[in-house]
Amino acid sequence: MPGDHRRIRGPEESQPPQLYAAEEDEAPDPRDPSRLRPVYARAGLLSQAKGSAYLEAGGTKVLCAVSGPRQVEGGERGGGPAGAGGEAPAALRGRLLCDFRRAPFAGRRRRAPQGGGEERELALALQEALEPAVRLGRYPRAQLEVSALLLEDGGSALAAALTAAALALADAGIEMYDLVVGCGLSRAPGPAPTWLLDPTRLEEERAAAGLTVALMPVLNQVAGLLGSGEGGPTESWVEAVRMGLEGCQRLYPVLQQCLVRAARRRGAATPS
Amino acid sequence: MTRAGARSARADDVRARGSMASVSLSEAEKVYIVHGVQEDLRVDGRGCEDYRCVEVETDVVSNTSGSARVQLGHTDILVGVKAEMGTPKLEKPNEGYLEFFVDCSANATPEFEGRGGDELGTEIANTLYRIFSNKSSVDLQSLCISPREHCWVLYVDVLLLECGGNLFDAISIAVKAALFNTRIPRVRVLEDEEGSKDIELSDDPYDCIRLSVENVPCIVTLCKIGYRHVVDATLQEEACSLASVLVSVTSQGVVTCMRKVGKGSLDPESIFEMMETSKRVGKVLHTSLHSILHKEESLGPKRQKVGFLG
Repeated sequence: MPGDHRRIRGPEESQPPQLYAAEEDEAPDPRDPSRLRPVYARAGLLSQAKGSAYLEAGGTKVLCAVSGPRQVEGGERGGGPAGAGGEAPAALRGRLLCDFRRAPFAGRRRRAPQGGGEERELALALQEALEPAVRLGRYPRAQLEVSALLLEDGGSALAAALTAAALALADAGIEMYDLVVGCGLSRAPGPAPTWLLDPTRLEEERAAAGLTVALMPVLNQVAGLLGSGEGGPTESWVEAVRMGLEGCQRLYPVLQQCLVRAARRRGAATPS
Repeated sequence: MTRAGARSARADDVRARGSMASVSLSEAEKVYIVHGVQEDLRVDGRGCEDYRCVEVETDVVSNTSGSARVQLGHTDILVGVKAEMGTPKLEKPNEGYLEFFVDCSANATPEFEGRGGDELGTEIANTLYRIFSNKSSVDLQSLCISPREHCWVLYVDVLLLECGGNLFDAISIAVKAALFNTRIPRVRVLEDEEGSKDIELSDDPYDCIRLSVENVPCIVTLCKIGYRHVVDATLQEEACSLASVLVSVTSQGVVTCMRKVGKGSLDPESIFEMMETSKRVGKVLHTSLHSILHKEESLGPKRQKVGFLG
């Protein structure tokens, strides 16, 4: 007989059984603190977006799409001197709108996509890191939309999203000063903590502190920085930032190759 | 200088970062500020590492468990903390927690009218969550009443009354002062023979638990202007700077959060210099704040309250 829902009432709230399961105390394997996971990057894969990129690093999978430049109404009235190199005056510069979304199946537990909170904070971090690299003065009264979708979170998600967003912008042909490369770090708790470069999801969950750095490799300028937790004294954070910047430099040749391949593919596809 | 002279004929509407209050600065004013900072001399005569005069007053709102008001130059912040009972979070059954809410009032600047200030409010609230996200800032276990069932939730509400530059620093000082002033009523859990629990409030209204704010961090914002960085920038100085670094330090020099804000990029060496400065400045800020809070408390309940029109 099917359950009688009116007389046999189920519990008001239920939780998945994994929550009460004994903690699998498998400590993450000891590894070289400055190893970078192998990265697979591909640009120009979405047909509907102006530019797109897909990045996979270990278990982290990010897909990023760029659309625009689109004319935006109600811009401020022009005025003021023009910038260097034929750029628009400060009041007419283009805008960059970033959106970061986490797929509901990205983490271990299903999370319904909420509007605010963590996703807004990461979208703001994306915008602050990409703005120094994009020549917004060349797109007056226009708006560029960058949307990053995290398909699976395997550690250092924000760093992967930053790198994918920069690749997508380059693939869209937006004028940039330099690419932006992101790198994640985490500090394990314990008596002699060290900073680990490019942490996996397990290492990030057990971490006492986390940090994401974004670097423009050729100009050697830090475009973005976001970190929090019990990282210890300033010297320890300085060491972490140095490690992160070095990791970004090591990642750069892979991204260059990815863009060259994408350009070749585009050239071969349109024989004219 | 001739190029700058030709440009100053038209006022250049330079916007301070993001959705904050905008200020109109001409090219000449901008050059004046930048050149002055290179010589360690700011417009109001301060050095690069000096704060403006800070006025802190606690216990300004009577309906809260704790409150504080901070005035830093033209920036005016009011924080109220209310302690309410709630259920602990699933992952941390033995701890209470803090909830932050930041409201940018339309009095601060006309741009915050309606929903204009929501974006800035969420940004500040997210930063506050981040700086309190580690175990050592506030002793959350003391907020637990009975594990998995009841705990104290501290709702920290920040009200931005006037925006005069350097919001994050002022807000963190106000939050620390309000947490110092918070008085949480002491409760006991009584268990019956049948096992049902009852929560009993003590009879004495002055019997409270106080939070230890020794390890609560304060935010130090360093704005990069030209080749040097300044602490506690006014709105005009913020308009001249393209990038800032926000560091949250405790009184022991432990950093709990680090963030780069703004549209520009920074040299790695200047970031390292800024972090050293933030440690120095943070220590001085914490010692003077501690001494002032203890001095205010020692004046006792008979002290003269200044309030809003003093």
